[in-house]
Amino acid sequence: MLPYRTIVLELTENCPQCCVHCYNYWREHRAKTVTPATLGRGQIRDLVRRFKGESQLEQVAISGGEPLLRSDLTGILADIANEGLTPVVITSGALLTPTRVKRLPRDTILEITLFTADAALHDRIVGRKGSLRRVIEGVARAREHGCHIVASVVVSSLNAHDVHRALELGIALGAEGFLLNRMNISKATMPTAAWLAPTRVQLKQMLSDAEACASEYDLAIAVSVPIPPCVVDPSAYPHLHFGWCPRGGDEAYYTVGHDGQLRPCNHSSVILGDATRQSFAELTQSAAAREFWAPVPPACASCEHPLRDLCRGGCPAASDECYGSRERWDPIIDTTMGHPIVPLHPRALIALPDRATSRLGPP
Amino acid sequence: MVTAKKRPLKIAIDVKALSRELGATVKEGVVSAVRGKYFVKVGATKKEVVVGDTTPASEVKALLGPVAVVVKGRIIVAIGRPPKKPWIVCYIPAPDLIRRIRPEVRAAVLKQFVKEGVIPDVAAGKLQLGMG
Repeated sequence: MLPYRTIVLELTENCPQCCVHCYNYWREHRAKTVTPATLGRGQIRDLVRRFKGESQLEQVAISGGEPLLRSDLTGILADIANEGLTPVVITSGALLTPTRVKRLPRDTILEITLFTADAALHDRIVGRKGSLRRVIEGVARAREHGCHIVASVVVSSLNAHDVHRALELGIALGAEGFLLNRMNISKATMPTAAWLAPTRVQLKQMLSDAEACASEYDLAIAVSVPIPPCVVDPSAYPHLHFGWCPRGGDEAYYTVGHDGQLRPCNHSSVILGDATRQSFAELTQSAAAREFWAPVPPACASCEHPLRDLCRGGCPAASDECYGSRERWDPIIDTTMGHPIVPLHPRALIALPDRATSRLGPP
Repeated sequence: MVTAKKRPLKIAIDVKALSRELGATVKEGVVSAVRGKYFVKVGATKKEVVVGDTTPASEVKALLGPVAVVVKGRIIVAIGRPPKKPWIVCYIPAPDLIRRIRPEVRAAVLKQFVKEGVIPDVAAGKLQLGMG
């Protein structure tokens, strides 16, 4: 029996937003909401049932793109609940229209992304006017309907100064859980990472603000995307829960794309195989999967920080996407040191056109 | 390693704090039950946990399985729940972290955002309903 308790299902690549920090590898050439390759409700139900039979599955994170674009989302959520599993819908919140909210099961957990309480800045980050207003109105509807809200505050250099207010906005919107994620650098954001990724000072500010908020309001805040302790030492923030990459361990969350292709996690574009044809055991215990998680950057070998065995160089998927190698540490270490991100492997040199970031310049 | 039959064994809520207080060490152990008797095993040593007024059977029963054991010298002083594993989760909301915020606190923050015009009155009304 596989130990995994969570899996991520990306229902679609499509999304009406164009977030400046978006890490999805398809962000510049996203498919339509449903394509011939997209798994239908029945296929998703079979896949979830099979994965449940092979593992200790408890939670299914429904992601995208924007999963609310799928017209069969309600049925998919019902199927997951009927298997005795908890679905969590990861959404921008901007499409929580009256019709969509009415269709959602009443106790649905929605993880919505908040960037700031400043409407102009929020809209600038996501690339759509009126977005924060739509998120607020949508979340209000969802709360009235009986949904649970988790607020995910994603931080780049643009909004690092407004974390306290963003978390407070989450409180006002009825959030019961809080994530604080620094943007994760990907191939798509490499060209702009030098100014878009938060600096060390900004990371410290964001953590200090979150620490103050957690203390003041008795919040449980998960700092999920790893911040290597050589960048900022987490011990200064006792109220925050720092997360680390599970690296294929019990807490791993393998990710199934809209077409059924299994990847090590949502940050990675590496395909381990077709989840509709191969068993999860076969895919997750394969040499390719083991090899994906194995490398620890040689540069981290001399690290003496007590958290080194949890950190192991930060996010290996980010290293893989940016440098083409997991032998290199997380690119956030380089950007916070002012170093350029220099790919080590030709695979990382296949640059993507950058639609989202081209509309913004350095602040 | 011994648990003297007459010596009361503490069922600790916070083994770390107790070990600090006593200058003792915390080791991993396992509590098992055999024919109504309870045993704690630490390394190769297995000793009976004598239940009674000071060490209620119900509390020992609740600890069946892996435990943290406070050991002072050769004496087992207390057993308690094992410390949680380092918390590993990246990106996905952890159910452990989902908890309600006091309604009066939430109401005050909501009121402030309404006052500032960030949250419209209509949405605030729905959010207040959602708090119930």
